[in-house]
This record gives sequence, C-alpha cells and structure tokens, in this order.
Amino acid sequence: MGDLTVEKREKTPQKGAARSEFLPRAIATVLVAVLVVGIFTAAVATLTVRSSTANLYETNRIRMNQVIRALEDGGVGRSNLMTEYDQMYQAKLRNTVYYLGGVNAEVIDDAFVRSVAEFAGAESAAVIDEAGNTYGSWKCMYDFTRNRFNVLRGIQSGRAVAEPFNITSPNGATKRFYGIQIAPGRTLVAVYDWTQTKANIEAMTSWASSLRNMVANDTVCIAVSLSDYTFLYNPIGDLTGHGALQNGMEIEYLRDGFEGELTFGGQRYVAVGREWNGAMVYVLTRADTNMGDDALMIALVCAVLAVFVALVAIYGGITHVDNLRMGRVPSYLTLLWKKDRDGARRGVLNFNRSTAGKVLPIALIGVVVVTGLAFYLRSLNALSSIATEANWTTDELSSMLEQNNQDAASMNEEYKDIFLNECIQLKDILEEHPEYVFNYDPEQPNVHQQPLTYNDAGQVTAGLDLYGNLCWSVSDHPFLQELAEYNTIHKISVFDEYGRIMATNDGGWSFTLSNDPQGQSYEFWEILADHRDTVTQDMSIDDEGNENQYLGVAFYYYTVQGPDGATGYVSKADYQRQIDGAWDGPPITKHRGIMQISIVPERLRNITDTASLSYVADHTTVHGTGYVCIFDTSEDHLCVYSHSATHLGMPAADIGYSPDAFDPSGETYSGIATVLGDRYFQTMKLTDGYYVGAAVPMDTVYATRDRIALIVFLGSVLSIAAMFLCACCFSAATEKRYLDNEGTETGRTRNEQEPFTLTMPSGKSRRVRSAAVRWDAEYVPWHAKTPDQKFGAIAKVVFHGIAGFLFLAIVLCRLGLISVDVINYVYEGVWSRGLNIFALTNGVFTLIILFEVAGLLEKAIKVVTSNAGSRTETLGHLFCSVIRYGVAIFSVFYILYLCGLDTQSLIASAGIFSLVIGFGAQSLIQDILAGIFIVFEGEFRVGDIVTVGDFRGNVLEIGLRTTKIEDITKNIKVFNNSNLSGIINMTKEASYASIDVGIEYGESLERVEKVLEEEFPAMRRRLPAILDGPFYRGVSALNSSSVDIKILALCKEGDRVQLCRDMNREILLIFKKHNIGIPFPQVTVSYLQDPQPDRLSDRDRKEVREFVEKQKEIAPERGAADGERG
Amino acid sequence: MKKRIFVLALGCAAALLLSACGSALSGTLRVGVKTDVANFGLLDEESGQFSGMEIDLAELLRRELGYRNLELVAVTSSNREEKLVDGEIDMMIATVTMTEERRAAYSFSAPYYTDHVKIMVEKSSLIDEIGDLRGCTVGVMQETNHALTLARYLAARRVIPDFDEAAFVPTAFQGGVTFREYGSYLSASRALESGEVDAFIADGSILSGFSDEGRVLLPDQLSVQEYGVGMLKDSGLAARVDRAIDGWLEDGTIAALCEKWGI
Repeated sequence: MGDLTVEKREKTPQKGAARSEFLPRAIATVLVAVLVVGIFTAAVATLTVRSSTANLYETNRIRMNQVIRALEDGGVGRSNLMTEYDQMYQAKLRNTVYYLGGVNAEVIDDAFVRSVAEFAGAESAAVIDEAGNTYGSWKCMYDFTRNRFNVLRGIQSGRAVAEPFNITSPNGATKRFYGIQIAPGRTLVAVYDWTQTKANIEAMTSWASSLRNMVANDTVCIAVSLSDYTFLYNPIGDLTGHGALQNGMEIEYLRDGFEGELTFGGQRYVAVGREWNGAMVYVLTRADTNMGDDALMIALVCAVLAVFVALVAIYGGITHVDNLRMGRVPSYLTLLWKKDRDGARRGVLNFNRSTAGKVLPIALIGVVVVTGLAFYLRSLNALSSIATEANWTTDELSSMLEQNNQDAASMNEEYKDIFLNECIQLKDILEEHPEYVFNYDPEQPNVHQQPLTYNDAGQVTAGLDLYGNLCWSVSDHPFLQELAEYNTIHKISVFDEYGRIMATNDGGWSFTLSNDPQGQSYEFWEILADHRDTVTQDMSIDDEGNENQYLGVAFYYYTVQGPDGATGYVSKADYQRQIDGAWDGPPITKHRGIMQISIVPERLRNITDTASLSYVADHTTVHGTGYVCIFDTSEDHLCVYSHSATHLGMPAADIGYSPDAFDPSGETYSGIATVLGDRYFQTMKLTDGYYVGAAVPMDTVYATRDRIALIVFLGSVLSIAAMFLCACCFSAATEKRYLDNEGTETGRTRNEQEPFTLTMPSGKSRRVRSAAVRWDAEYVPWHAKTPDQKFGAIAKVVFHGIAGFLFLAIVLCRLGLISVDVINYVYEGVWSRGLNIFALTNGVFTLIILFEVAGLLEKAIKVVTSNAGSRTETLGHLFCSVIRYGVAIFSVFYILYLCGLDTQSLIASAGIFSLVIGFGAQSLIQDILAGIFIVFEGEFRVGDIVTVGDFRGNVLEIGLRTTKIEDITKNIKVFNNSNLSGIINMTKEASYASIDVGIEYGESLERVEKVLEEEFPAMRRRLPAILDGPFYRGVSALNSSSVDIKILALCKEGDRVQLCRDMNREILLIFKKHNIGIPFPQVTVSYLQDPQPDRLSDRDRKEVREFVEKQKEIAPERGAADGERG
Repeated sequence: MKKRIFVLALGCAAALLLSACGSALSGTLRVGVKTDVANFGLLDEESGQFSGMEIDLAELLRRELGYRNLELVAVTSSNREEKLVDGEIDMMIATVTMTEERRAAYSFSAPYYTDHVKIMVEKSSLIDEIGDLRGCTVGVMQETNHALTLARYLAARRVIPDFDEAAFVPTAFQGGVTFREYGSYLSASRALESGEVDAFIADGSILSGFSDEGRVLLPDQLSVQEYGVGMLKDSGLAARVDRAIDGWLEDGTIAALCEKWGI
C-alpha cells in the first residue's frame, strides 16, 4: 500500500475551490458508471435473450418430430377405425342375408328388403341389379342408375363387397353406402346414417385428440388447414374452427419450415411449423416463461456489477475529497505530459497510485463475484427449469398411464359386447338355417364320426345321439370358414349338449370341453348346465404363445328323427310351428349347445396396443433430447421400455439408474447421474406397477451457460476496469489543485478507531487498532472517519442491503406472496442431498436468513440492554455470545447435513467427543462457570472499578471465558474468570483521599492545627474534586524525622489518586505560606584531617604484588566466589 | 431578411408539390373480387375479411395507382361483368379468364395467373379416364366456356361424335354428353356429391378447394386459363394497370405472391 506524503506549501488555501471541485468530477464519475453498466446490461441481456430463444427453437424442432409421428399414428388409427367399422357393418349385412335364408332372386321384394334393413340396423336399403334397377326397397329414395352409384353395381364383376362411400347432403347429414352381392345379379345396398359415427371417429382420431396430448409445461400444438385457412385445432382462446388469418396468423407463416414468433390471446409464442397432410402444424412455446428467469438473472448480475462499479467509484471519490480536505497530495504517476505556457511540464493524465492500490482488490473481487454469480444463476435457472420439466413429464406419464389403463379396461368391455353381438348373429343364422352346417353327409371328407365311449358293461355312453345314431362332427367347414372370414373371427365352433364339437372351421373336430376346473374351456359347461346364457372370457395366451379371446353363447339346435331313422336338423321356426301346433312332421327335440368364437389376434392387438406402455411412452414428449424409460418392479428393475432397443430387459443399474431412484413409496425421485459418459437429470416414479421416469441430458443445459459466463466475465472486466481507471486517474487541473491546496482542515484529530502502523519483531509492519476499541462499538462521526473507514461503512451498508433484500425475497416467496421459480424449487423441489448446486443454494439462502436474523437480534438486545443497567447489559452480552456460538455450530451441522452427511450420528458422536474434550477442557469449563456465577451473583459488573492483585482498573467486559479490565493508562489486562480471586471492588460512590504530611518536632502542633482550620475551606473551594472535607484526623505517626499528621477528603474513587496529589500540593503551599517546615532527614559528613602514611618499602610492595598475582592463579574457578556467579 | 425569403420560397414549393400529389391521393379504388375461391379471393364470414392472392394484387394496384382507399366488392362469375358495366366496380380481379369474347368486350391487363381447366369426379362413380365420360352428365359454371372446351376435347378423342360448334348451347347439347350449368361453385359441388352430375369441370385452382377423400381429379388438363384484371374499354386506368402488372411479372412480385399463396 502506498504511503501518504504530506507537503505543505506557503500558499493561501483555496477554500471556496473545495466544493466546486467535487462537482465536475462527480458528474464525470456518474456518467462513466452509468455508461459502463448500461453497455454491460445491454450486451448481457441481448446475448441471454438470443440464446434462450435459440434454445426454444431447438426444443420446438425436436418436439415437432414427435408431433408428426403422433399425427401419423393418429392417421393410421383413423383408417384402422374406419376399416373396423366397415368390416363390422358389412359382416352384419351378410349375416343378415344368411339369416334370411340365402336368397334367391325371385323372393326379393320390399318386405324382404325391409326385414333385412331392420335386422342389419340400416336406415334404408334396396336391392338393385347391374343396371341400377330396383327390385325391392325400403325408405330408399336414391336413383341408383346414376353414375354416382357405379361402385355398388360394379360388384357384379367378381367382387363380393363394394367399396363403401359417403354422400353428404347440403344440410350436413352424411350417409354411408354399403353394397354386398346377395344373389347372382343382385346387390343389396344398405344405407347407414353416418353423421354421428363420423363425428365419433373424428373425435377419436381428430386433430384435437392427436395434438391435445402433445403438450408440455408451456408448449402447445396447433394446426391450420391449408385449404380454407381455419384452425383445425387451437386450444388457445378456443379458436378451433375459426379463421386463422383473422386470428393471429399471417399468410407468410403458412409455409413448411416456418420459424418465428406468433401472438395469440396477447401471449407471445416461439413457433416452429411443418406442413403435414394438407395442414400446417405448429409447435408453440411461450416466449416469456424463460424470460422471467432470464430477466432475474440479468437484473441480479447487472445490479451486482453496478454495486461494484459504484464501490470503486465511491472509494475514489471519498479519497479524493479527503485528500483535498487534508491538503494532501497523493502519490501518483504521470502518464501523459504536456508543456504549458511557461515551459513547465504538466501531467495531463495522472494515475493515483495509492487509490489504485486500495481499489484493486475491490475491482478484482467484483469481477470474480459478477462472473461467478452469472455462472451460478445460469446453472441454477437451467437446472431448476429442467428439473421442473422432467418432474412434470414423469407426472404426465404416470397419469397418462393410469388413464390409459382405465381406457383400456373400458375398451375391453366395449369390445366384448361387440364380439358377443357377432356371436349372437352367427347363432341366429344357424338356428334359423341349420342346413348350412348340419345334416351331415358321411361321404364328405371333413365329416368325422365322434369317438364312442363305453361303460364297464360294454355299453356305449357317448358317441350316439338321442336317436341312437352316430354323432358326427365337421372340421374345416366351408360355410363356417366363410362366416369367420368376413366377420374377422379366428375360430367358430359349435358344441352339442354333451360338450363335444359338432362343427368347426378348423381342424379340432374331436375336442370336448375340459372337465378340469382349471382348464380354459371348463367355464363353458355353465352354458350347457343352463346357468348362464353367455360366457365372455378375457384375452389369454395359449401354450404356443398365441393370444386368444373366447366367447360363447347358448345355441339351440332342433332335431328330429327322419323317416330313415337318421337324425335330421330343423330350424327354430319349425320348432315354433310345433309349439303353435302347425307342425306336422316328426316330433322336434330341442337341445342346448354352445356357439363359441375366438377373436383374431390382430384385432385384439390393435385394441390393446393403444393402451400399451410403449404407445403411451412413445407419445410423451420430454424436454429437448430427453427420453422416457420404464422399469418393472422386480429386484433388478428390468427395463421394459426405452428409446434404445438394446436397453430392453437390462437391469436398471446397467443403464445408469441407481437403486435410490426406485422409491416404493410412490414419491418422485430426482437426481443427476452419468449414463455412458453423459450426465443426465433423471426423475422416476412408481405408477401402476411400473417405474416410469424421464431423463434429460445436461450438456444441452450447460451449452449456453459457459458462453454467457465468458461474456459476463469480459464485460465485467471491461466495465470495472473502466471505472477503476476513472477513479484513479485525474487531470492536470486536478493535479494543480492538489499541489495548490492547503486544505480546509490542517489536521484531523486521530479517532480512536483508526488503525495505526505497528512494526512486528520480524520487521514487517501491520495496521492494527488499539486493544481498547476492539470490543468497543463506539460510534465515530462521519467527518472524523478516514477514507478507508468511510468506505468500509458504505460497503457494509451495501452488503447488508443486498443480504436484507435477499432475505425479504426468500421470506416473501416462502410465504407465497411472490413467486420465484428458483427459490420455490430449492425449497420444495425434491433434490437429493449431496454436493450439488441445489443443496449449496439452500445452504446459502438459509444461512443468509439465519445470519440476518441473528444480527438483528443481537442489535436489538444491545439496544435494549444498553440503558437498562449494567447487570442487564452483562446478561445481554452473554446472550449475544450464546447466539453467536449457537448459530455457528448450527451452520456447520446444517451444511454437513445438506452435503449428505448423516448428521444424526454425527451429533451422537459429538456427545462422546464432547466428553473427551470435556476432560481436556476443564479449565475452560471452570472459566465459563466462574463467569456465569460472577454475572449472577453480581460480585462485580461491567463498569466497576476493581483491583485484582496489583492491577487496578475499570471492568470493560465480562465474557463467557474471560474478563477484561482496563486501567488508567488504557492498558487492558485479560483475566481468566477462574483466576479472578481476591477482587477488591472499589466501586463506591465516594472514597477517602488521604495524605500524610510530616511536621518538625520543634513545631507547635496547635499552630499547625490552627492554620489548617483556617485554610481548609479555601482548600475545599480550590479543589472541586473534594465532595466533603478536608478533614484533619490527628497525628498518624511519630516518625524518626517528622511528626506525621493525616488529612482526609471525601471524593469519587476515580478522582482519588489525583486528589491526593492535589492535596499534597496545597498543603505544601499552605505550609510554605505560613512558614511551617516539613522535615527531611539530614546527612552529616565528616572527614579525616591527617592521613597516616604506611611504612612499606619498595621490596615489600613488590612482594605484595606477587602475592596478589599468585593468589589469582591458584584457583581461577574459585575466583568466582561471591559476586561472580558464572 | 434573406432567411425570410428563403422560407417563403420553400413554403410555396411545398404547397405546389402537395397539390400535385393531392389530386391522386384521394378517391377509392373499387375492385370486384371473389368470395369463395381459396387462395384467390376468400371471404371469412365471421370477420368480414378477404384473403387471397387477388386481394393482395388489388392492394398493390391501389398503391400503384395512387388511390387512398380500397373497396373490395363481392362478385360472382355471373354478376362481375354486370357490375363492371354498371360502374359499381372499377375493375374485376376475380379469376376472370381472358377469353376472346371477353377481350373483345373489356380491357384486360397482362395475365397475372395461368391455370388449367380440370375435371373432378367422385371415386364411387368409377370414372377414371376421359373415355368414361361418354353418356355422363357434366356440371359446368355459368358464364364459362368449359362446356364447349370439353365437348371439343371429347370429340377430338372420339369419345363423342363431332358436332357443330356454332350451334353449341351447353344446356341443350345432346351429342354424347350432357351439361348442366350452375351459378356457384358450391351448388355445382353439391350436385356432384348427390350424383346429379357425374363430373364437375372448372378451373384447377377452384376445384382444389372442393376436393375431399371421396373425390379425384382426372389427369386431363383441358385448356389454359389466363386470369387478367378486367376493366372497361374506356377506363383511364387500363394502360397503367397493364404496365404495372408487366413490371411485377418481370421483377418477381407476382411470382412472390403466387408462392405466398401456394398456387
């Protein structure tokens, strides 16, 4: 650090120059500050917005791929559904025709057509020929000769079924036309009202149903028809069906590959558009959700930069002002020279070294803090938004799965009804026309005799029918095969009353219903036993792995014994005639059998597919390039669905999911893991027997962060450097003022709190403050502060302000009054404890709150106790210590807890630890206890005057462990509380100052006493410290040289020492005045008159000298006898 | 003194200039446009807004000709010429095909769009090539010459026998194919739907607005249709309009418009 050189000139001080001096410099500084902060803000804001927007476009592009896929699936779904419907209706028509007896051309009339229409559920029907002539019709108003109906007539040329088509009438009603060939040259045309069905199909496969689920947190999909520019689907403001161009779209947007911004309902969206199937599909993401977080980040970073720029500027300003006031010239370096008029060199640009030295650390810290803040905030933002999105996805997936399972269940029920209906239709046909299938001709290749079974007596127990005829069954029956084909049924089997197959369209002619209750076909016995009329089973998988679903209905067949004894089969109508008495053939016996069908696996699969896990997962969108993973609940958590086929069947651990992710309690897990070298943010939740989760790659998250941090770094370096230079440089004019200035204050009294330079024994010098003020919060007025102290005060205010603001934000957010995503996520988000950014942020926030609250509490306590007596003050002090230590310990434990350490066991072990410490810290405990007792028993208090041993002073502070006492010379002695024994507490209102004065033995005592009596009042007046007295207390001692008399005076304890001296002075003057002598010991000196010569000769003297020398040589070590202890 | 004279002179000059422009910067250009042709002239009932390439063209012309306002008047193929003659509209930009007849009666600009006449049929009619039209009924628009064009086309391909063109009246034609005329595209479309007609012949661009899953276009392209801006013979605007459109054809403005509307 630089030192200040003080130069005094004999020039007149320019007083008035001081104030006007500040202004131009201040203005310049403010302008520079505003400029740099402004440029920085603009740069960072632009970059942030641009990169955020770029991110949004990228996300939308990726999502668009998923949307197109969903639409394609939907389109397929629609055509599948149409095919399904058409097949159903056509099958029904044909069944009806068979039911009515396999028509020959002559029988066709209106009544026939009507019955067909009624049975088939058609709105109207007709039978036409190739030319379009009508042979029978019912409610049919169409002119079939028109070319429009060519396709119906065209079936004559070999096709059995016409391609169905729709006709929509002007009022919007749609009819669907089906045609089937029922007899040579005859087509049955059935017309169905298709309006509702069309609407249903639309609803199921419409744009709405496809796009509705393509929604993420803040994303929505819309579609615009390219033929009439209406919204095919737009949930925003419910604009579906409305004109697009008039509601926010421009024609320029309606092109493939569009990327830009759209506005709906006042909300801005970032959109990516693609053409598909005659429409434009857009993925829209709200532009402002990210904006809020970005804005916050930009605001914070720029605010912090502004703070540091301001601090640098303020420091420069304060120092400059102070220099001028003191008349100091700072140590500076001239960067640019110029010769002025009289040839002298003037520095045009000067660099203030001392200020520079002090400001540099602030500037560097500023750069680091701003860059670090930007880095940190960006990470936090990105992570928390991704975490929110991943969680959202997982929740969506779970609920979709649950919903789909429900849908699947109800769809299953619905389809069971449909299949049952088909079965009933077939049963009706055969009941009316048994001749299609029965009346077996043994000559036919597929007619088989049922196996006979015998009882023990050798009698046939099965294989013969009621009339004793052999039972036959037919396999690969052609009629049944035809029925199966156009009804899209896999197998048809007819069972007799004994549970044996009578006829089937496949090869199992000898199959009998199982007698094993566990067997699949066992249930059908219920029908034969007349317990139930229908049996519908759920889908099952047979031994070969094929899916099957079996249904059966009660089927009646009617037998007679023919004239040749053979069994004949008659129709239900015949039986009815018998009941009515109109039958004149052989008696008819009614039997109850089973008509059983099994459904084509493909049909089943279509139904179950849409409810399947993979279908749901395929249609769930995840942020960016994230993906969905589904695991089962087995021990290893095998993967049952993943975007990558190789993952299927692998244990979760191999794919990079830790066991922690699988929480059986149903809570959502979220955490970060490394999978194949890439870091992912993962979420997982147990739903409906599966663990579903989403994973989002982190590198995309951080892609822009580094770039922005770099820009912020550069920007902050430039900004702060600019301010730094501005603060440290000054012009030639300023230089002149420095040199000319004498200063408005030629000296400033050193304030107590100012540090001074101390030289250590090692030679280094340090700036320290006196011991007395370290514990004293004495207030130093502003003008008395050094520039450093001023700056320190400002910086403290600023940082407290920032902390306070943050504190307020956190509290308001937790109370729900404002909403900040980051704060919410950090406090509520389910993130794992460990060394991650959320834990650290939580720690920082919590500690800020804690420190602020603790700081406020301490201040409050100090304020309250400062005026309430010293005991309260001491208590307050103690309390503050407790708070401080408590907060410190808690902080440490909390941080450790957040970092994932198990603090419970830590605290438990701390108990043992403290026992160990306790043994070693006995004296510490003693001190603390002694301190507590001192305070509570009030032996002495802060402010008392006490003497401990030989040290007398003011009690400065009674701490937990030590007590500090300050003596008159401002020395501070620190005592351990336990060493404070034998304290003399000298605090009292008044003490006695006592002096002993000696008078001569020859003096008259009464005269002295009289003098004292006269002079005491005057003495009292002259010494204001005397509260009462002075008093004459008589003769204290009869000394060897003097008679001592004692004089006392009452005074305050603090004045006592000085008063003694004053009284000594007064008494001396009084004695002098009255000629009273003060004796002193005298010394008498006598000296010898005649000195006697010694009678030693020269030889004697020589001998003596030798003697002395020899003595010395004898025992040199013994020479160190007394006096010389080596 | 010098300053004052200068200001005065400036003021006079400005006034003169303004008055010169002022005469054109007034008035309303009334253009007849279609309401039912997607991409050319389409009216959204709800909002009353027109959209289409011809609407855009009208706006361009308004600016070019220096009118302050543009008034779009709804016309149909049957009443557009009438409105022009009556003076209700100043020009027609309404998918007007520039036939010889019309050229004789009105003044046209250079063609701003080229289209073909096509035939649309229902799939269920099993008509899949031009020969199948023999004996069929074809729906045509009034005030068009499509019937004649088709008859010629069919005759040329020996689908129907030759006939006398001079005596050709669409609704009365009996030579192997019959025609029915309709006043609006919608009614023609409905007729096709119900089977009243077996085919619908119109400009390709118009037909595309009526296609659906059950319909298909025959591959034949019958004749070239050029759309132009139609004005009265004595209209003072004709030359400027023609020049403007020529210019736009050259510099790609028209091409851009077509691309914008996907036509």
